[in-house]
Amino acid sequence: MNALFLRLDGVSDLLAKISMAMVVMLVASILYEVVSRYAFGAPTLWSFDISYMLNGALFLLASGYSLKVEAHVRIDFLSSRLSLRHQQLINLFFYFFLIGPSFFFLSYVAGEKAISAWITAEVESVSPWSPLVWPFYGAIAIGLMAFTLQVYIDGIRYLQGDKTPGKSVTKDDMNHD
Amino acid sequence: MIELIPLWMFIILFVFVFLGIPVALSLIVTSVVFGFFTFGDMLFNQLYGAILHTASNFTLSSIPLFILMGAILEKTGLALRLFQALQLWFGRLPGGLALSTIVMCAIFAAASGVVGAVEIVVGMMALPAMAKYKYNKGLMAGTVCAGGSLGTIIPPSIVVVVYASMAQLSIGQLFAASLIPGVMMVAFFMIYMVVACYFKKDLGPAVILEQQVALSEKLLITAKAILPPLLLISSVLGSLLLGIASPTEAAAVGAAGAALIALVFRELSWPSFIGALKTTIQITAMIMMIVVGGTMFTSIFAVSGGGWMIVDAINSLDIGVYQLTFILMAVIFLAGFVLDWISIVLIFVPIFTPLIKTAGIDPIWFAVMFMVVIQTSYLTPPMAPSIFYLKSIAPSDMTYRHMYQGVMPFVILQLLVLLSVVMFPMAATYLPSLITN
Repeated sequence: MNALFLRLDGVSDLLAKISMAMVVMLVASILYEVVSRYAFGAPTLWSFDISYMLNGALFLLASGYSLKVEAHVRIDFLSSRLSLRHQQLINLFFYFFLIGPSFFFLSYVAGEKAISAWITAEVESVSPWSPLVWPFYGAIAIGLMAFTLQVYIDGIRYLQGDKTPGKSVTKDDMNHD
Repeated sequence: MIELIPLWMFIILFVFVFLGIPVALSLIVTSVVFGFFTFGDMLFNQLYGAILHTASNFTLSSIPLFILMGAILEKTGLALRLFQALQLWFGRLPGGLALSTIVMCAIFAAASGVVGAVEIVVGMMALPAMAKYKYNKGLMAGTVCAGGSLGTIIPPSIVVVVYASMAQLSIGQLFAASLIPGVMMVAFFMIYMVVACYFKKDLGPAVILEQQVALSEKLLITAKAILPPLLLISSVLGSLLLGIASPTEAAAVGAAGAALIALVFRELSWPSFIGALKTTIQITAMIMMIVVGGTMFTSIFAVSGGGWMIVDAINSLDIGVYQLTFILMAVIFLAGFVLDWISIVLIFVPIFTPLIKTAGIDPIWFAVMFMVVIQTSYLTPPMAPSIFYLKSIAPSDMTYRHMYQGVMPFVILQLLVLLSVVMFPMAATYLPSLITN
């Protein structure tokens, strides 16, 4: 059952791919705005909203993947002196009982907001474009849910003792910051 | 007990951080724990507000774009070629490789804006080159650490983007403000290296080239390797400072431009492009999660009365502008030993901003000093993040002793820059004043 559960971190990988595509879309949409404003004197109505929505969505969608590959900064000059097992138990405790529940409830609120925005067809109130907000709220909710899932997957890895804090279990490892 | 919540928040935060829990998650968990006292079961609606607020911030959407620009320069061969071209020019001077490294870091700092990344990327190229010519290990360590720290102050820096959005200052003005201190710092570093290596020849021996490179060839290599990234970065900065483009637009054009240059030089392969995108989303998620955590932390801190607590404490001291500035800088300096710059900016800028407003301190002048101090703190032993990064790429015969000794001259040089900014606020405020007029 555990092995099957651990494979759910494919969700984080998939969302990371979507997030990478969003980076490209972000560049493309701003370039489009720049060209149409300076070359044709016709600024778009949607560029401002699209830019912040893409950025907001892409970082949350990538947050689970970043946790998986340990891109989040840890200050480990003290904790790295503890034995590996102690480090794993500390992380296990935080992931299972503090971080996991926090993000569970945040995901719950985010999901509620997204669904109510969808049902009421809520639109962005300050923008002249007035786009529907449920896709943006939905992306935030999905990002938070996937992050919660990844927290529990990594928590199980700490429980089983096959993950070292600060080290990615996959080959996608990178040095952060 | 309840009125001491703001104090406890910091204590608990540091306990979590030192236990090795990711900083972003430590901030969020601390906010959840203490938020219950004030918000009860409305807590998560409140904290979701912080997430939505961060996710909807237009200014912050320049962050993935600046990172992408740096990542493309790094993942394609552009960075390595730049370093080799710089060696051609500086190699035969005393300490020439160290000079190349600093210039490389300055250009790269401008490109990426992410501190540790510059240090690691440039360090991996520069350390073997310097080791080959038997450079002094202290100088090697100091050069790479000091060069890596430049990302904070040399625009376009992500520190500036986050700082400006927290303190509600103009990003363009803040970039302009950090330009002169940034250039001063690079100049101080380079003068020190040439002078030190001139008088102590074994510190950084000049490189003896096996064969003389003809000037025409030198110019050709320069035109190919140095000019394109330099043009790219100056056009990004220029359009920003002249107010032609918003930071987000300048950054998007910069990212597309970097990809275009790499494409022209046939160095943009599919795997390197995907690699650059992967780096981009990881670093963006890392930075933005700290922004989320920091926003939550400071909002809970504020509603728990933390702001009043600090204002009361400062008022009871009854001190002048310079003493106040000094105390605030000391706090940042100490915090910089353990926290990364994003957390420092996110936690302390909202707390300090009302204080400096009341005291009538120029917020732009203060911001520049703030950034120089973060940078110095990043470099200052014994707890220097720059040294921890260096350790991960250093050759095994380079000890902590080499590193500690090596960074000290650079720490002093940075303090000199800080002193200049304190004594001559014009160094920070002159360029921004041109923009407003």
